[in-house]
Amino acid sequence: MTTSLFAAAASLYALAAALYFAFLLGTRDRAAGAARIVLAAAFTLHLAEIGALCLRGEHPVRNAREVLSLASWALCGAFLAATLRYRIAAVGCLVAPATLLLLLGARLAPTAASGSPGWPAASRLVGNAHIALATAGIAAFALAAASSALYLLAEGQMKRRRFGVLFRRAPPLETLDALVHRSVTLGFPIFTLALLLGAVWTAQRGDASLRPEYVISIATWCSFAALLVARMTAGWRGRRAAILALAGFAACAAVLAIYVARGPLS
Amino acid sequence: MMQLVAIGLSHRTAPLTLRERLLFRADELPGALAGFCALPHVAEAMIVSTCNRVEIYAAVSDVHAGTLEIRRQLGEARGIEPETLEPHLYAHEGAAAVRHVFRVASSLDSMVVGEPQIAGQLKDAYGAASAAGALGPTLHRALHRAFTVAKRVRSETSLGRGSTSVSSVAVELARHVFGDLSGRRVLLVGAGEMTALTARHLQGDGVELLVVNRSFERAVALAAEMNGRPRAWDELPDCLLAADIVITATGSPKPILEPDAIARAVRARRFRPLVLIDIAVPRDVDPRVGDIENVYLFDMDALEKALARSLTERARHARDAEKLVDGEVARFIEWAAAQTAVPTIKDLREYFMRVARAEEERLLHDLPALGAEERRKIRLALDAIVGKLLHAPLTALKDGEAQAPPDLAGAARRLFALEAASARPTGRAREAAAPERDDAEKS
Repeated sequence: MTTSLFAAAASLYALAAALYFAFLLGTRDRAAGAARIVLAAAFTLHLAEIGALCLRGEHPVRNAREVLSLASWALCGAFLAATLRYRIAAVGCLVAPATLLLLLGARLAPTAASGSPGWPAASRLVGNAHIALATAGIAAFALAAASSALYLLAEGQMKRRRFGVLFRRAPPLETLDALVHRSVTLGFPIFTLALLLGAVWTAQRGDASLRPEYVISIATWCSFAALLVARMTAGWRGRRAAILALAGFAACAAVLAIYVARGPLS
Repeated sequence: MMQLVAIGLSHRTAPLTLRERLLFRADELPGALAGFCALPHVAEAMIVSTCNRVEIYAAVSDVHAGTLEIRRQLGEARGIEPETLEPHLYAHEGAAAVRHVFRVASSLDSMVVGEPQIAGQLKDAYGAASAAGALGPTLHRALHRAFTVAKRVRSETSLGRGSTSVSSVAVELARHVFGDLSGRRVLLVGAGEMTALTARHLQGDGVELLVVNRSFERAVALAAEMNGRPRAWDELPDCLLAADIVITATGSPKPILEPDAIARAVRARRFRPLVLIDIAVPRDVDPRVGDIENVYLFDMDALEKALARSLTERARHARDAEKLVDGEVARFIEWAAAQTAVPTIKDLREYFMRVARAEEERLLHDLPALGAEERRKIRLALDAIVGKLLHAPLTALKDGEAQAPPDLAGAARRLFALEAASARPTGRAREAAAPERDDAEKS
């Protein structure tokens, strides 16, 4: 059943992505509304699939590649939530394909990391919370990054006075900037908490080694902290904020990539 | 069979002086509609009268005669001599008339393509004609479909979207930066014709206007006219801090906004975006200002470029809408044809079957010794004859109606005297086939 749920969710993600591109390149606005409905359906099926896998014991805590699936689901959810407030259909051109690729990556890559042993019951609660929060934080940062990328592209066109497809279909620059800011302000406290719980979890397991992902995680935290502080004090926004948000996301994506490639912890 | 015609004139064919002479006021409509419906070949009529068009949509029993009558009546009703009116009138019939009604309803025939009023005006005209009892099935069907088509065009295409002038394109560019413009501060530098024109495009958006001008009196005058606030010329640097959008068009031979000043302003503004619209020639803003972070500078070149793009877009939207309308016209014609062909097909088949049954009855009466099997075979043979004879004409009726030749169904009704035949509940074949009634064409 999980296979058919996965296939259905992936197909709907692909359809949503196609509809978003139809909106971007075409003249009809209805494609955006249709894309959102299809994306919401995919999101629901994806949740069902994650739930079914959890019942089988293949959950994010045991299997790092499940984290990838969960993160893509959370990104999609964050985007859908944002569409309730902002008219940002063009961002869907980045989010829908990204969600699809992450889901495919989680399901189709060889399952080297699966079957890694569980952790002692005492630390499982902390571990669960750490993974759930880190995933939510990454999803928020991913949405900020998607919005930033679109901002940089649209702003570049505007500055060079090239009134192309993006100029026509991208949301107003201020909307994109607001979305970057909102996603970061939402993601930052969640990510901070995840980081702290991660430290506690590591200490509980008596692991004193300094791994590269710890360093990169702290770099991620620092770049988003810098972004928030610079915005509050010096009013950094627009292009600078977008670049910094992209850099921060690249760092936390690297952490995720390390976990997925190697498995959580042996 | 009734044919749809559309006769009238519009901004495309007639000058305003003639259009205003022809205009029908709302209280004149019932009388005028009654006049048109009283014409010998006109069964239904509707008058569309706006400042851009005066048109009569009508259902006529004879296109040529009906059109002539309506043309004549139109001039007479308004006291305009035929030689003045005739050269400006157009007349569409059949599919062309359907297409015309659909295009008018969808605002494709409007002076400003895509403007939204025409659908409402058409609905009012339809309401007035309906109240006057001037409508029948032909106009009801065509107008209902026209309203649906207009709705589809509105929801499925972007007809009429995009700017048509430098001023409106400037406002659109500002929207690409800020989105909603309500509550934004707009600074007009130079109280001339061009800044005023651009500012007028912003007035509906709920912006706050500041006006700066070298001569303070002109600033006061324009500010009063635009519901804004005047500022002295030396307050310009402070105004730059407050404004989100700056529209500048002074007669200054040298740039009045230099990169240094703008860069300082941007820092003081804490990098809030600033849109500069420079419609002055020679330019008021140093082009290097465009390189400053979060500053978006559009000079005349950029505006012209955006305008060209917008006009191409509009043309593309109009093509989308035309394509949609073409599809709808074809569907409507096919559907309308089927509406007339279906009863004819039914009548024709019934008539043939009646003849067959009558002959069968007579034969069986003359040959009482036949067994059940023989009777069945005779019946089957008769049915087969009817089926084979009717196959080609019925196929032609079903398929052929969408294209010419005109009124195949009418021809079939007349050839087989179907009106006379279906008037009789039962009857002998010979009587039914007798060519006796001439009113068969009136269906």
